[in-house]
Amino acid sequence: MARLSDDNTRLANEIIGRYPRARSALIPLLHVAQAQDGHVSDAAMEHIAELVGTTPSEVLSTCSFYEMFKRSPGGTYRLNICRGISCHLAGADDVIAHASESLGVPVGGTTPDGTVTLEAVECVAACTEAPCLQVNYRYVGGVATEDFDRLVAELRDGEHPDVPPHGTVSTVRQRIPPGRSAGVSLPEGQGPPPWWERHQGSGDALPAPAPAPADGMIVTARRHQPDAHTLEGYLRTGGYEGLRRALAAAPAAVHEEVRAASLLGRGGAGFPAGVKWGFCPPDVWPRYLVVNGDESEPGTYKDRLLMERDPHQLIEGCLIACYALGLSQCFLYVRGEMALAAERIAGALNEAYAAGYVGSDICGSDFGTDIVLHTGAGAYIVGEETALIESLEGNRGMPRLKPPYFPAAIGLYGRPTIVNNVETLANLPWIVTHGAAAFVGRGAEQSAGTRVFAVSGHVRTPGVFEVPFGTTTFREIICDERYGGGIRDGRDLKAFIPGGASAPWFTEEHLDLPLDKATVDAAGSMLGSGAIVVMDSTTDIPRACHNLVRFFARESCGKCTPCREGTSWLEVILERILAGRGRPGDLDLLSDVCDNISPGLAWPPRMTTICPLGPSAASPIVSGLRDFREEFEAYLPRRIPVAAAPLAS
Amino acid sequence: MSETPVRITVDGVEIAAAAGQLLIDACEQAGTYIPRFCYHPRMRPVGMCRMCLVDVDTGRGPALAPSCMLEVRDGMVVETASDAARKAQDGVLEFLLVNHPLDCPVCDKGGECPLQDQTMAYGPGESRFVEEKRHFDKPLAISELVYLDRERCILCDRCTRFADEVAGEPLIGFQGRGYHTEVNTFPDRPFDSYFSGNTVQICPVGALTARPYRFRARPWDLTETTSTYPNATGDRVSVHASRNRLLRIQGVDSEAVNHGWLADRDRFSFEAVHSPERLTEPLLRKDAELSPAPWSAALAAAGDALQAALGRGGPSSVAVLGGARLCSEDQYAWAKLAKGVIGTDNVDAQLGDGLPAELVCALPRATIAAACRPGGTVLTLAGDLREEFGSLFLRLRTAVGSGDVALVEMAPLAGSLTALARHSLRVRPGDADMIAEAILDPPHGAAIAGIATDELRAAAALFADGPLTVLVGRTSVAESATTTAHAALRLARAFPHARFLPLLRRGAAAGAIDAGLVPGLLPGRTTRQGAGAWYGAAWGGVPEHPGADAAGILVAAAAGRIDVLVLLGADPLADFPDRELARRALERVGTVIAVDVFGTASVGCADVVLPAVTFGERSGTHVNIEGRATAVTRQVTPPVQCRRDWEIAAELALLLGSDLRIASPTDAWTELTDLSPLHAGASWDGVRADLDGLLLPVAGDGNGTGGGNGTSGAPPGMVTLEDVRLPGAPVVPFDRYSYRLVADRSLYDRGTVVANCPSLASFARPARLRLNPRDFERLGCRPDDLLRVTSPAGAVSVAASADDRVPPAVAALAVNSGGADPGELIDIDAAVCEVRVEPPIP
Repeated sequence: MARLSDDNTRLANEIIGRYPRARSALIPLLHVAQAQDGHVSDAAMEHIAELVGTTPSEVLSTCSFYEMFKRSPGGTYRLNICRGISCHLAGADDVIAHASESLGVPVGGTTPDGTVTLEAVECVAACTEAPCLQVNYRYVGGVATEDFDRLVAELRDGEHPDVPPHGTVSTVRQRIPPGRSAGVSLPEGQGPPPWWERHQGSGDALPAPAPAPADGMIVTARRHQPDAHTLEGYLRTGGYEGLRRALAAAPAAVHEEVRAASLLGRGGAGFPAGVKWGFCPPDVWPRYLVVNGDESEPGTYKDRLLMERDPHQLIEGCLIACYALGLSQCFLYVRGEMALAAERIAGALNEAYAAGYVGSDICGSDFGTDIVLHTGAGAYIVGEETALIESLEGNRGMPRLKPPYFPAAIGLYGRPTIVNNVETLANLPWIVTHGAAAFVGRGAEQSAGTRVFAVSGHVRTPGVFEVPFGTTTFREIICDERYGGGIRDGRDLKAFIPGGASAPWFTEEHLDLPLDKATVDAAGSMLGSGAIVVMDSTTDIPRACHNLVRFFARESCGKCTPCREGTSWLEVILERILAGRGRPGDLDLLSDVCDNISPGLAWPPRMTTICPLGPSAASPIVSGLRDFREEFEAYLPRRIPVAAAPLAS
Repeated sequence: MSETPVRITVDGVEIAAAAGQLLIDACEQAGTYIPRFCYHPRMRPVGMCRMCLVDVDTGRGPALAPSCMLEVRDGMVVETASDAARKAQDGVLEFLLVNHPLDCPVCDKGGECPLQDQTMAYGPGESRFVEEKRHFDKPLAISELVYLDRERCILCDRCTRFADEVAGEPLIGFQGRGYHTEVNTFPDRPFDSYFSGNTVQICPVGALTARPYRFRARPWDLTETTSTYPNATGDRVSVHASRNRLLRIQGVDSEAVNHGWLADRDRFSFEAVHSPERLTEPLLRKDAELSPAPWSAALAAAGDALQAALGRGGPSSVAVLGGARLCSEDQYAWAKLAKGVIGTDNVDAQLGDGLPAELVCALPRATIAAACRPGGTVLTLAGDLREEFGSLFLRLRTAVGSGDVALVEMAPLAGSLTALARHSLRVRPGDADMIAEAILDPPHGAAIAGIATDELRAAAALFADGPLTVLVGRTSVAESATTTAHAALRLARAFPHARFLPLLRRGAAAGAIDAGLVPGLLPGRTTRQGAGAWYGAAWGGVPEHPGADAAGILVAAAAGRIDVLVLLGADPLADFPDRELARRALERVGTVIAVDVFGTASVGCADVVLPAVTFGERSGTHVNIEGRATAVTRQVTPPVQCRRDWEIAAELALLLGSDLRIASPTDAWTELTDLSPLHAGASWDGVRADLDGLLLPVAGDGNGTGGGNGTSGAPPGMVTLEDVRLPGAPVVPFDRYSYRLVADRSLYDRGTVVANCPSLASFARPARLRLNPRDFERLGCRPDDLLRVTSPAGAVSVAASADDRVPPAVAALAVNSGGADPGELIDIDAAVCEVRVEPPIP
């Protein structure tokens, strides 16, 4: 229960120094406080308020929004058992029940010896290894009940010295060496970055494209290379080649190449990145890049893989984007629960700064920009781009209304800001190296390149697969031996979610649709974040629905009334139905509550809310009631007409 | 906002709206009210509650949009009651009620609750939500004034936005997330804000309630009237009473004045009206004791004393101090009695804590709205606005905070706006005029008196460029007003485009000056020389000799030259800066006649005490620091024996053989508008026709020129800058062994109003001597150490604290705090107050 120590105060000031506004360091500083004490004490919040120049009330307001920050002490190890949809389908509820029984504490409780705090958490992006859990944010996949008991015994016996006590997330910190920083870009800065003007009007084109490798992989090409996350390993396999090529050309030529590649955003909405880039108003400076690495959509597991295994590829993508658009500072926002990703990126950045790939005078040129690693603290909504910006400004992650707050026009600190997904940016080195034409050649006409899909749920071989975009079909990626390998145990398919928890469900009849944006949109769903969750014939649909709705209710930010009140209302209605306490009109009530959040229950959804989270909660209910209404009805109590009841004898 | 209007269609009717206007406002102006909970016109829209969703077609087909976030565009087609809009609004209402408790019968908001009203009008007959509602402990005292009921809260962000954006005190905020979101404070850090009552007023449900009003009345039992709170800005208020008791004051959104905001002291001060400490009957000194007496006896005693004084020492042996809390009608009646009937010019509504009246009249006058208008510069030559001018502080803070107005500060201490100021010039006591001169003509060298010359040049450039408003007041009563006055005069001459707002803290001091209740002047900002004949003809006489201001009156009294001193709600023993002089004066005066509401220290020295009415009990007109006349409305009946101040003046006049011809406030106001060139054209009804009242002079341009429509002859001319005669401003060399004293103010002091409000009295705390942290350390102080502070005038012992808002070599001590009294250190004749601070004895 203390203020930050002298060392941590120095660290805090170093972190604050990386941001244009001290308040932006709020979440990183709360992590520092939690690493110090294992939880965030009131005294630490008061100290942080002094450091960033606000009131303790404001600090608490931000702190209490994020799941990872705990205001009271817990066990040395937090066992966070995932109950996301993929883990739910793999029996997470049984694991949680077992854990609670074997530890002798309820969910949320701490064992008397102070070793373990048990938590049930939302999807942690390990869906292909379900059921999974995290020990202080370190992954353990495929956890059966006996594995759980063994893990607890090992923790108690001190057999996991590599897992730091609760509070420390990343064990590697970003350090920007003195003299290597390109400088903090203040929002009130007047003009473009100093190097920008010198690169204008040169008209230099990109060098002739290098021949594209044959194996078809773009962003996961290094997935089997154990040292791909090191600078040496990355350079050995063509790393930073794209950046060097970009620096040889005019920024406009790089932007044009990306536009020509028809690179659709890989975060969920699928908007063409090159077009989004063009929305920056021409004469407003500075401009920022914000990398969306807050992957949290249940069923989604791809950005984490790209950040953990190939961090330099992402860094190179960021630098290419900064160069193309004159972005003067980059903030790389990584989901808080992804400790390894943060460690790998911090390590990669430290190496890249030292070797002259990030910071000032990049690759010996006059181009320079800082990349600041920023870790979140547990809030799904922060994956929404305006909420991400709010969070990066040190606030509660509550979305802003678009218009007027389109980030490209009014973004971070009110300045033009490009928000791109990790996978989107990871494509850039390849595009610049091998050319837009080769990229377009990899996919379908409107869905160029490749996409990374996580196939989870009831398939034989769940996994993360990079496949040609727009040409592969759902049947292939679910059933082909190279990918999902078919439904487990030879069962039948009941339904599948084509693009993450927010997407309306598909069934058997949709299997032959290609993984193409336009086609899937037209069929009434979306490819979203590349998360395909398969449900076989044994799936209890109302329970799966409840699982997804509960997720949205837990993750609603609370800003808009319909979402805040509506999602939790949907949850309690489903709860009573599952408990056998359903009421006669409940299914219609579910529909009508959904309708009040998402009028007309249309696709794409209309909204009475600011962002699509509320309407997303309607997707599973609308899908479930449309295709499996009888399963819901079966849960409703049977009403036996009085006259037909046999008289007691 | 562009000047070209745009045309939009609302529910099939084409209407005009200002470009850039929000749809919700445009519709309301056109008569279509869109329901809302989170939207508040004086705060940034957030679009959270979703109640104001309407169907909007901008050419791509109708879609639901929050009308509070949408700016009107030409050709926009809006349906506020389409099936889709209705369904969405009904849905939102149902969602809000899902977790809202059904405690309307015991809720203070019941009967005036937007959520209740909406539900009654459009809501479903029964709830489809059958589960247990969300529970919180309730109510939670988030401060000593405000209670929070989190179950009723609909999370509209109004209170939290107000605290953060308007007041700049984010002490309450959202905590938790989603369904578990709540408004709360940080543990053990209450919502201690001077402006907390505003959050109660803007709460759209009964989540926030104010302690003074909780469970006191139901809205339908209240009578309500629009009035003016008698503070310097003349905040427009709505006064609520039931069964002849004031129960509540709420701010009214006047575009010109307060935008609906009030400081808590003003909002809750109505408690004093019903205080058991009120003076409710006349008192006469008998055998050294004040005893109750009938009005006839008390008035006769006063009349006899006045007659005797006139006979013995002539008119100049009578003096009148105070009157700054009265309505213009009372002030005029007393000015007429003193100057026209008695014939003395020894009259001052200010108590040595204001500005020279001639200067106030001569400086071209600004308005609050002009000061806050985007694109301008505001210079403050004043203390911390937050402590004395609440609503002006909030408005200026909003304007400066949004970057629309550039702020330059000249003050000895840093204050609440310092962080937002473009330039903050730390001016040592006594240096104001020197720095003003340096701004106009920057000296060679890097700095003067600790202020960088670059900063002075930058300030000068801002002043020269675009509209300039100077807020001129007193940073400290330990420093003569002369230096500030010289600085203001210098700036007025150098920048003819500058406009001035005199920050006279006493409620209606500006109105008192305008009514002639100050030395040297006659009603309507006219001079005794220039308008003497005019008023002499109308009144039957004017003073023959020039009179003295409060300081001069007290000096004369102490020298035995004042026989009768009338105190019009004035308490020089507490409020005059020089304590010793006030004491000597009151001891020496033959007869003290006190007209007051409470038994103050000075009333205790009186020989005749006449109980007066107060706010809420009188009707009349208030004139604020802009010169804006607004209506003051009576809402409750005063205690039986309390009389109006104008009435007392009229009675005393009769005893002196004159008839003031004033039998009502309307009589007084009408005579004032007939005679005074400033008030001309501002009819009683005209003042009441608009929420913003009338800016005086009605026919003028607001900068001191106006016409009169007097009954006969030419109207007298008004004071100009050429008429202003100020004593020389001595430059006092800096003594490096001394500290210069700043005697400043805090909102809650031991003034009679605060002291007699049970809800506020505990906020006044004995002041500490605030020192720069380095001086504090250099003196070897620890918190709570008692220091001995001495000046040539006296000495006090006081606990000290380190305060980084105080510059080195300055010592700050608040006046009238109930603790150590800076008045003991101040000599009214000294330009500055130099004090020695002795280190604590180990």
